[in-house]
Amino acid sequence: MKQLIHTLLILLVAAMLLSCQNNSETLPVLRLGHAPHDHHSPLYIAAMKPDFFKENGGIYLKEIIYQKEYRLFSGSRDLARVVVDSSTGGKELIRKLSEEYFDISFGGFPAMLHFIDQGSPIKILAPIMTEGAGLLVANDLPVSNWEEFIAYAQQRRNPLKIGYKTAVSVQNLIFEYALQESIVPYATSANDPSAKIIGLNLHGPKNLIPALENGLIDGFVIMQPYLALAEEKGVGKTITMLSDMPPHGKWKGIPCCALAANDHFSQSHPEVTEAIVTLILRANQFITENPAESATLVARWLQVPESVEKKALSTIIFTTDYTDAWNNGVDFWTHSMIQSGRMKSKVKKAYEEGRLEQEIYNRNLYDIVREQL
Amino acid sequence: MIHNSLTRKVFWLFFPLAVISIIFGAFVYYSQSTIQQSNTKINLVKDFQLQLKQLETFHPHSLHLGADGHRKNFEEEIKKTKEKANRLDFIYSDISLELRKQLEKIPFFMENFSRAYQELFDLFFLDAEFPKKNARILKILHKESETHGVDNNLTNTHLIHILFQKMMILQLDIHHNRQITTLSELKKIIIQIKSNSTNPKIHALSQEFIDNTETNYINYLEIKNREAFLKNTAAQFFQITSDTIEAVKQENNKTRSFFTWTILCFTLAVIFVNLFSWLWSSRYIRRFLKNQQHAMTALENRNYNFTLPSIPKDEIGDLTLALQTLAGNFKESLAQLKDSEKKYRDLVDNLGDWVWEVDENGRYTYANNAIKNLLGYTPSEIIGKTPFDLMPDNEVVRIKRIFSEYINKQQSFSALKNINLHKDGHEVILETSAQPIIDENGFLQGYRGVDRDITDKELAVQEQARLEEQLYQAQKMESIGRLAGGVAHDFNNILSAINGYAELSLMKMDPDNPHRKDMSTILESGQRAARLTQQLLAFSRKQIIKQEQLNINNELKETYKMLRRLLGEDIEIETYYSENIWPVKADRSQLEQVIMNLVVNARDAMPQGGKLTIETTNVTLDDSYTQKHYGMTGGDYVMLAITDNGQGMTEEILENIFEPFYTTKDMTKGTGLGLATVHGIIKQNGGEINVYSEPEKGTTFKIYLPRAQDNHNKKDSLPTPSSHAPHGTETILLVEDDELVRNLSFDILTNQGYTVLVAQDGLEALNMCQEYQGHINLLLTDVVMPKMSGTELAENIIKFYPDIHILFMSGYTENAIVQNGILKSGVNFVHKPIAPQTLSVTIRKLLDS
Repeated sequence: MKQLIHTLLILLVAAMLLSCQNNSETLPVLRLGHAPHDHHSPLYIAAMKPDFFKENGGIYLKEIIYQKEYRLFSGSRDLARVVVDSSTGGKELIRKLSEEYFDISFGGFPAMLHFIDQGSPIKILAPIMTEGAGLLVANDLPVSNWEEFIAYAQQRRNPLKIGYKTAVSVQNLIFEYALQESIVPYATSANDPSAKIIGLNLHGPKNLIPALENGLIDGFVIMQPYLALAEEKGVGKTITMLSDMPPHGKWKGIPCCALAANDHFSQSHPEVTEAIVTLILRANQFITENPAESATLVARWLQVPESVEKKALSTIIFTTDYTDAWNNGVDFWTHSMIQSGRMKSKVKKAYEEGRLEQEIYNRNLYDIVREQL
Repeated sequence: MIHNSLTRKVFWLFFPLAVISIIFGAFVYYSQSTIQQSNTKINLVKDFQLQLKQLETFHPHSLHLGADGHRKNFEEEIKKTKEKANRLDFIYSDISLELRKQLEKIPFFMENFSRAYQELFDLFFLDAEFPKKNARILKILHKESETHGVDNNLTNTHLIHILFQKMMILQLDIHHNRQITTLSELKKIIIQIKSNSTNPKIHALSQEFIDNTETNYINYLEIKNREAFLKNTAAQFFQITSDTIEAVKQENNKTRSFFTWTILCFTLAVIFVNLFSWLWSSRYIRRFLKNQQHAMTALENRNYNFTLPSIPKDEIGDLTLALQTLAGNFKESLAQLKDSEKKYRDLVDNLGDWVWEVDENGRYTYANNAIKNLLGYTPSEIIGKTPFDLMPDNEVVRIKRIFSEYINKQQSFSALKNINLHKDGHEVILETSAQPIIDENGFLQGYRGVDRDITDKELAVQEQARLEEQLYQAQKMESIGRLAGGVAHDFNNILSAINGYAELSLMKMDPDNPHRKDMSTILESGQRAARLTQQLLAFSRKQIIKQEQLNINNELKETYKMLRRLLGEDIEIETYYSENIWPVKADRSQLEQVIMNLVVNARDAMPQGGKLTIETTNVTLDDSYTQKHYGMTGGDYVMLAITDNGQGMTEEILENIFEPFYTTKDMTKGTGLGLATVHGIIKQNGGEINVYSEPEKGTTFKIYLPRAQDNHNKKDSLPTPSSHAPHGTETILLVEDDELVRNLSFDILTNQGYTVLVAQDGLEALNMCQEYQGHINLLLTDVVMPKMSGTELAENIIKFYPDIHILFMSGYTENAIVQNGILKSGVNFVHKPIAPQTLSVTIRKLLDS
């Protein structure tokens, strides 16, 4: 009789536990942010080459909805549902990342520093690329390089209007630093009478080329493929890549875009984070190793002519390492942003205390990923 | 020990149900309240979403065109949105940490959101101002161109019109996100206007127009940027809130699922507990019932040593144990009952009485073993029979009549005598007592009773009656005998005087005396009366007899010739004399008288002739025989049977046959004293006489005489009277109370020469002895006298005269001298009536001895 009671009680408890248990383990959702331009090409490559990456490393994205939703697999294991979303880039992506609108996002390195400094719980996971941006001016503008551009601007009675895509972007910063270096008055307001060059925020790269075409601006600073696209359309000419702007050599290998994640996600889903970073960096390697195919794939993703991409993609250095140039660039950005008053808090303090790397990077994860590449 | 754990068990049976039910109820209440709370939270979020939608309706582009009240309303909506955003913290606890963090940021984002709205509002305000400003510039420009009325200016006027048109087109392009190619056209027109005029004001206005237009475009891009931000932010809010709703819903669903499963679990638990309770109760009750059934089956099978497995230690167990104990007690009681039943059954079965039971049809349903002894049937043979099956037909009629009355009245009855037939055919008298068996409805179900065999009792009663009759007869005979004896005694005294004096007279008369014949007649009549008196004395057994040892066969053989002559030729005599016949002690003459009387009776019973059978044999009578025959004792007897095949006798005759003077013969033929004399003689000789007779068949007289114990044949030598009375001179003391006898005796003795002293009684005689001087030689005394008997007198006189001869005289034997009519050895006796000759001879013999 007692055995029967015990057995029935055990069955009852087991039934209760089973019934109360969540019947299915929820698949994590990874909201991955990017801006639709070449700098974030590794995402497109990873999304469009599932078989390759499945065979090479085993981590791949299985397409559910093109450009919208994917499944992240590691081998046969379904690690996460990946929702791909885009923004205008610049600080918008990182703002959304810090707002946890995205879990992991591509984005400009200075914007990342800016939000980290402001206390956003995000960490840089890996470097993505450097360079790949330049200054393009209207065809009729009688300049062909930076020096001529500076000279032309200075001798003009009316200031040159240079458009940019958004308020805070690597391109803007480098352009401003270069103008400062060249001692050319610069303002973002047309009302500044002393300004020789006025920066106009056209709120998105897509507005740049029409503005240039219609004489609203005289040129713009932008990343690829807009330089190549504008040249392809014949509306302008690239007179210098940003890496060639003064001070000379300063911008070679300087961080442009990186991959960052909000701490909550990376801590909650380290395996997913590790997998996606590994995949992105492998895609980086693929682009470097397969530029033509990559250009084709990226052109298809961005819906631009392949020729544009071939030209554009070749100007971008996709990296998997924190190179010296990268590190120097980090140091530069940090220093200059502190100097310019753009960073006043965490990053500044960490920089001053010599623990910048710990503050902005998730090096543990990166080191693990790097080993797997 | 009485348990009370059943209450606890029942409590623990229902307690979990009660607890689960309470928890279940509380849980359902909690789940309802939680789900309601979740719904409230969802409504809160939806309210926030609705508020966002409400906010979108306040399009800044339209707001700036309206009254200030609209903006105030817009700001109110913004405020409400913020408040509702702040209230979202109410649901933080129900969503994931991830979502919660996003939700927590909504109030913060609301600041940027509202600021962006404000900026957008301002931008739209500027946007609205740009066309006005351009229109004003164009108006001034147009005015300036007209003021300076030159052809070029006229061209400019025209161009300004075109410029206005293009400006409007550009506005449309900008606001419809179309290519702003019109901007370049505007710039070209402005260049033309500038080139057509030297008026610096026109130049300045033209540049202002184009700058204003470009600013307008840039402003519009800003608007788009803000709109995009607001849109994205709102979308994000919606996303977050939708996610929140989804999360809450999921949480809600989880909660619902949890509640559902938990309720299911509870339901299962309740079912389980109920099932368990049912199973337990069922098993418990089944075990109890099984035990009960087991116990009942065991009891039914009379197995009282049954053991019950797994008896619970509670009231039910107590009940089961009580059953077991009950079985034990029952067993013990049953054993006692069995013993008792066996005892009573044995008692009933071994009862001498027949215990029976009949059903309503009168058929035996039970009979004890006594029936075997009573009627020879076994109980099984009796079952199914009716009492009437066991009765003779005439008894059936009688008993049916009696029974029908009892049955109709449903009465009990007792001691009802009825005759039944034994299985072997003989009749058995039963005494029946019975009580009716009445069922609860008052209907007669049968009778239960007992029969007792009273055959022996009845026979004993009959025998008793017969013996009583015999006793009565004996007493009657004794009375008659006593009467006859008394009469005979008195007659003897009288006859002693008559015959004595007649004889004396004859002795004194001469042979030729003419009175001698008369005197002889008197003497003969007196002697005949004396013989009659002797017969009476014989009948009354008062006759003095002289017993001697006789062989009855020899006596019969000696009398055979006389018998043959007595019977005549028509009667055949058959004799069966048993050899080695035992001797008997009897008075020979009396025996002969008996034989003669019986043969004469037989002859008289066979007037047409017949056969007379005389039989002798030795018989030993046991108690069974002697008990049936009053006056007889067990022992060896010689039986003499005289049988005739004559007319026989009826019962009535048989009852009176031995009475004196009872006769069926003619008055001339019999005196009625023959068989009475036979009876008296046989009785006096210690024997018995029985008669068996049936009318027309004949009569048998059986005489039983006791076997004599010695063979010594001693004959008394009594002096025989002689015709010549001897004489003497001795002195004789005569003592006689009867005057006649005293005088007769005195006369006889004095006639013979004796000196006779006469006394009337014993005392006088003793006095005379004391006074008398001479010697008294003989004492002649009566035996029975007043004052002093003859024997006492003799004993006393011997003191005076030790050598005196003593001669007793008496009419009967009932005295100390004669026992049962038989003289004691050595006693001298003369029988009354006194014969002078006999007395004289006897006295002479005594005196000479």
